[in-house]
Amino acid sequence: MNNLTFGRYAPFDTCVHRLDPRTKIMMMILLLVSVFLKVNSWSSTLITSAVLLLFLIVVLLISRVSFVSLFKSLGAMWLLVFLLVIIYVFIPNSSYNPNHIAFYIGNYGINYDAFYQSGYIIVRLVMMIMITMVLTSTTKPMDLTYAFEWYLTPLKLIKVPVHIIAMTLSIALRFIPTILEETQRIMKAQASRGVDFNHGGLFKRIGALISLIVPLFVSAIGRSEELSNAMEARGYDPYGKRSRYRKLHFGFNDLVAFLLVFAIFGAIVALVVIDKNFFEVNYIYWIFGFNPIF
Amino acid sequence: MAIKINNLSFVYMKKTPNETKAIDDISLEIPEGKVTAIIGHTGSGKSTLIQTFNGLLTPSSGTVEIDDFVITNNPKKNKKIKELRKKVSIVFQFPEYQLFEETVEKDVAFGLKNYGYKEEDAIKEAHNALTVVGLDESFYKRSPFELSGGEKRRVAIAGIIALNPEILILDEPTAGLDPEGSKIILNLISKLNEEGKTIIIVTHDMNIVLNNSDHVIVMNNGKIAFEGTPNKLFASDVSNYSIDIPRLFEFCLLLKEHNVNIDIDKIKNVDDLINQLKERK
Amino acid sequence: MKCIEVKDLTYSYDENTPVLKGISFDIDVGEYVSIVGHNGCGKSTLCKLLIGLLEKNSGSIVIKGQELNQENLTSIRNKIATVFQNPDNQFIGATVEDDIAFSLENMNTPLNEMTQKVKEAASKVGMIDYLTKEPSYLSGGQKQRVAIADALVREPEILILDEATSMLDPSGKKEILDLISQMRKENPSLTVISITHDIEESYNSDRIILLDEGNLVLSCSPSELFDNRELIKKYNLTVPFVVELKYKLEEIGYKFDQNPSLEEIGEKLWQSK
Repeated sequence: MNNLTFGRYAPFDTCVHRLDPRTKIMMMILLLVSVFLKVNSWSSTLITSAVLLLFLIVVLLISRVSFVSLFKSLGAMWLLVFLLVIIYVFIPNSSYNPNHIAFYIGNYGINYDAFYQSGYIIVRLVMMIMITMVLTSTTKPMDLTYAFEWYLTPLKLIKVPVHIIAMTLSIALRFIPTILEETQRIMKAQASRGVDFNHGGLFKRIGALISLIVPLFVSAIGRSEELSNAMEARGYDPYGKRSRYRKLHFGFNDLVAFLLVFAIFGAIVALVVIDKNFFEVNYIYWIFGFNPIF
Repeated sequence: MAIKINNLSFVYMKKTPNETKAIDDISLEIPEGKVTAIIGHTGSGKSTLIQTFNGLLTPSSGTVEIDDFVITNNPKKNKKIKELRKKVSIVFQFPEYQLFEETVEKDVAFGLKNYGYKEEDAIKEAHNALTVVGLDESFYKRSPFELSGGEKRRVAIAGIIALNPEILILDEPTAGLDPEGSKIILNLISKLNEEGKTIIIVTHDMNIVLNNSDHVIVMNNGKIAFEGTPNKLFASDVSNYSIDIPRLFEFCLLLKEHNVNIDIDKIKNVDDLINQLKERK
Repeated sequence: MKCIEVKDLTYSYDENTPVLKGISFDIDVGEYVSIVGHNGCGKSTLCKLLIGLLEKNSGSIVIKGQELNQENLTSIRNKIATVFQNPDNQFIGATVEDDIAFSLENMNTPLNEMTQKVKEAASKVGMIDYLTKEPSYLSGGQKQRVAIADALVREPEILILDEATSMLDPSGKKEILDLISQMRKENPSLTVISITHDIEESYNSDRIILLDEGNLVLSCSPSELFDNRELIKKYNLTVPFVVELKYKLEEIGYKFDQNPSLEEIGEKLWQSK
């Protein structure tokens, strides 16, 4: 249960929490694009990464996202990071500068560029996690669905049942805690019948899992039937005209926040378009203080 | 097997802002061979307490001693927990939600197979357990999902008593059943107790406390607020623990107030009262 | 004035298992009727037929002079509020306020009116301090109170309780029953139909309708029913405590008037000592 806390909504009342979820989703998209825009010259790369990282740290601080849970979620990714480094280091890549060999393993030269490339990827992954974490931990899941529905509204023109999709999604979100609770209860009940969910061979574990999944399905089906009865009894008609209790509100703060992010986005796009090396620094010097090759 | 609880505490979500002390340093002994009721309002710690009895929850501090099993706050030391769960079994609230096999007999035999019984032995024991809960042969091959609510619950209970536990713990065993279904379950519990099983019932139903239990423990804010016989409890001042005195007992107190000569310590049901009145006549 | 008229109503899930075998009854405006019977007697099916969740095989259901059919289903449903058994499975909104607003949204109520009604209903059921709470932080009784609040905002003429208290603890049960009697006091024309196993609850209603294996076997006042020992025995009914006490005292020679209260029974006992 504990590893599910990543990015979970944290009920603080910060200015980021108060922003319109639509603004937040748009800002998230802009920032993600900024992070993954490919900049060729490495000095631009350095500038964009530094600016974005700094900006994100400030946002994280303002929105009171817990750095502990950030590091925890990074910890969970160590395998991915490890694989990335392996792939970059051991798979030959024509874009590496053949002069930048750090050392040899047998006849195979390990290139500094490989470390640089994998490091850059990792930094971008971290930023991506930071961006999504800010969104999910400052926005209630239900507000996300409202925003999502708003963005999908144009699809109504081509007869996509946007409202039904959003309703389904919000009900699924509503029932996640209920079903988690139920999962725990069934696990405890089966443990009382001698099921061991943590030990035993593959065969035993599959058996244990079945004793959990079948009751969960049975109860979920029962729930869905009762739920649809209750919705119908309360006059729900998916195709009828409904008013909305939740109104999203795009305010002045949203405009300011959006413009700020848009400015950063614009600047990065500009850098990409210009794509010029502003200054020359040999990053190998940065890392080691001397150049072991030249 | 009695259950000895020494300075037991249990804290949920330790070291987080939501930290809550569900059980706060309690010591008590649950007598062997008796029916003990544990009561208290929602959130008083009673459900947490029973889950420490077979190691489903590990105490934050203190110990639970059952026979030669000692459950401590170190989960690694609680080695023979699976063996313990065979001796101390919990029937959870709405246990019908744990059914999953395609036939009733297979579902009842499931627990036994987890404890290494061979298929045919397990099925044989399952049939015995089904007889105990009053379900005959015609049920063996039926799907548990097509039974009525009361029948499903009896199948689930059979799945636990097939393990032949020495201590049987039931969490709200009659919740959601109609009066007839409740009666069947309560009679079953009395029968099991007469056969020598120690029974612990967690309940909100004060009639069960009065009619069916020998001993009662009242939990309040993670502490024990009262321990003793049900009759003593209802005769004392219970206004602090949101306990509804059973109508029968209320009536007896009223009689007592008007100097009708009855022995309220010996009244567990209407018939007891009637008999006392009859003798007096 | 008749509120509900049911005539020769039949329903079966498939040809071999009839659930309702042709039942007829009327319910007056403002009446509080309990429908009782053992599991499988057809009472939940009856409830689903009344709100049009199931379609009858034959017979008729007339609600407030309108025959229930596909065309006027929506308008009839808007007159009825239903509280179901499981508190979790009828909580649709993300929070208390969203859930109470759900019915209003369905009725296309304007936002400002909605906000006000949600608040009113929440304070009536004592949940005003919980408006922004999610269901997982509420007890079963609190969730059912929200369901009642939802019923309130629908401003129903008929309130159907489908075992609404059976999954609650005694204090939750009491809260809900108190709320219902308060609703009836404020709106005497509210008709209440309660499908229940709780014999003490049905003892307090105006009328008991007893179903047995798909037949309506009895429709009378609680005191009439509980005065008739043969009927109680025949249908294996549980009786309220006061009735049980009276029966057993009569067996050992005491005599009482019809429907004595507990105090009256007590008086007999302490006077005779």
